[in-house]
Amino acid sequence: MIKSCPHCGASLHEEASFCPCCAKSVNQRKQPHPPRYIPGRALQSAGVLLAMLALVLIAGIWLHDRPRVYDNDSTEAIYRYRGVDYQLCIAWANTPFTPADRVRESSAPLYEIRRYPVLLYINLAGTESFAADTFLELVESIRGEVSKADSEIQITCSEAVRDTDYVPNSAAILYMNPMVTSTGIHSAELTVSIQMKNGDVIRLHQTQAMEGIMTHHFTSDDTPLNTVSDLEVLLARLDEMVGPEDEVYIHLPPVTYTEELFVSGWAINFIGSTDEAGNRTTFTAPIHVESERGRVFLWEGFDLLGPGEGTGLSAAARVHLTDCRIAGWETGVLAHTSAWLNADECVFEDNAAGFCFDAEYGSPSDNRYVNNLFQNNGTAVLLAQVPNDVSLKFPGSRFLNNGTDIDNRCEHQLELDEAIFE
Amino acid sequence: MKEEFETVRTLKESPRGSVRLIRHRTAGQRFILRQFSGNGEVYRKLLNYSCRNLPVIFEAVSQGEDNLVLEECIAGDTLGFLLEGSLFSPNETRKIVIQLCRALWVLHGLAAVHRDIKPDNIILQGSEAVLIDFDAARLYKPEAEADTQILGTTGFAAPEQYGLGQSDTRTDIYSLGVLMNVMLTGQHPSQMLAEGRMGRVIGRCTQVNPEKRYKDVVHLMDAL
Repeated sequence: MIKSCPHCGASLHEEASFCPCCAKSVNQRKQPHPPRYIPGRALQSAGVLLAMLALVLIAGIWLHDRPRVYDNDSTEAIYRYRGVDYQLCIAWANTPFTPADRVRESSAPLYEIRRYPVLLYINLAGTESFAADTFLELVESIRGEVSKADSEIQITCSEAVRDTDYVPNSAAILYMNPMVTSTGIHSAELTVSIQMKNGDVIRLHQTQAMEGIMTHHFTSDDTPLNTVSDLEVLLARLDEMVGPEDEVYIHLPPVTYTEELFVSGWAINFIGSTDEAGNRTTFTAPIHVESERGRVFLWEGFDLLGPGEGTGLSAAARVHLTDCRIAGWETGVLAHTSAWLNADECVFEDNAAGFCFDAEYGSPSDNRYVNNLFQNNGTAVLLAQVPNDVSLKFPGSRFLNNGTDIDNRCEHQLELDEAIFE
Repeated sequence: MKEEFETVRTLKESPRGSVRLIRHRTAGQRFILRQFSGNGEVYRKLLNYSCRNLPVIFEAVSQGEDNLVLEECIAGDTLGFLLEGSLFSPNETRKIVIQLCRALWVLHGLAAVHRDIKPDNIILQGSEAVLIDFDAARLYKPEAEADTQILGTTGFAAPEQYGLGQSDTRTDIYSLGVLMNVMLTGQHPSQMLAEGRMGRVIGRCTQVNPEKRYKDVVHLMDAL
């Protein structure tokens, strides 16, 4: 079937909308216009309209001025301001957009005051964008309050501080200081209140549950500790002697251990000693430590002296060295696989590489390396892989006569303004 | 067509099709000729409508997946080109977006979703903004659970266009929100949200949950 163009008379297909001969449209077209938005037929009455307007105005002022409380008894709240939804949450640093569990579990030795941070993040809801910088301009104050503490836990909460050097992108940090006085799990309730300048209050909650653990001390007075074999016997017996979460201190006599030592699992704290004649606890063979637990191995007061080759301390755990002397190794200490290593008041000398970080993952326990002496090393500090973005600081640490002071191969962020290079 | 028209130049060519500027040999009038594979149903529906904020669709024919569309050639600069020079004021933005809402009112009335609202698909012709390119448009079917294709332009596309749900008319409202923010600030709302009342309107347009956006373009026009 065909039809004729109304403009030029050309023959067209029956369904044609356009005439290619004269380049004109040949069909009928509608011109729809959007309606004006009218919210409800009741408004057609002028009297009702005025009354409703008055009511709306009053209600609007009341609603606008009425401070609101946002509290859904969790670690997260969504707060809307000027059409933008913000997520406020207590979260861990490595998952800042995911609210932390309602109950935070940890452990501490009895009668020991611990300190740990609780992190507040403020993000754009539904996105993975940090929004603390802009949101905090609307905030009057942030306060942490502890309540419902059971009788066996004493716990305080610091004032909220902002320290984005320590925890990048966080909105606030509250430091908890708990002390438990008996074994078992004890808890207290932390409420973080964000007071807005407009009067609104946002509350987040997290239960701080802490298990009180026993502390065990082993000394050479009651336990043989003179050789590596003695230490191995003790380590093997710990399963029977202490609870799985208990803290263990082994006070080492001022002897020289000449065999290789392997430590795993338990977070064992080794405390070396020095006698009146100047003899000091010394290891002359490598030490290996690995643990998948998060507890920190606190080791202090001993020497680790090598033959010019090998690795003195190989750690796949969190280890904090204090007052140790590591000398004469190809690699003095090596943090590998899943490790975080700290050293304070230590001496690293005469090693090909003194302190080496080559760990794929590991959670920082501290980012400061305080008052160490690095001298006569080929390379004092070698950073091949550091498993976190936190910047490393060397306050008071001295670098003296090393081939290379710091070989920062992974270009990790460093703060060296308080380090001393001689 | 081949007898009466000549190609002036090819504007766009891709595996999905081409866009050519053609000219009527005797009348001298210029047109846009689109060839593309996909669903041309929206173009065919637009044959029966006219709106000053949409190009006139003169002819739309399909054979299987292949489509041929003859449409009005809109003379003017794209919003994308203009945004390279400077941002828009809140008043200018408001005016342009209301015009785009008029275009979308027609499209949405046909149960169609544009799905690719972005500065390069908007031409300013004198004082009127014209929304072009319906290649990504589809008809909204309420029973469908999720879009089968990911179309649209990254950044302007709503979350549901990434498989989080089916596109409906509120998908275009999301893109309008992003567009407004880009016109005012040059940035995506997640990077920097425009200030003031426009910021609040944009915030509502760009809610991740479509239920929380403006219900339709009329409500958005009213807010603007």
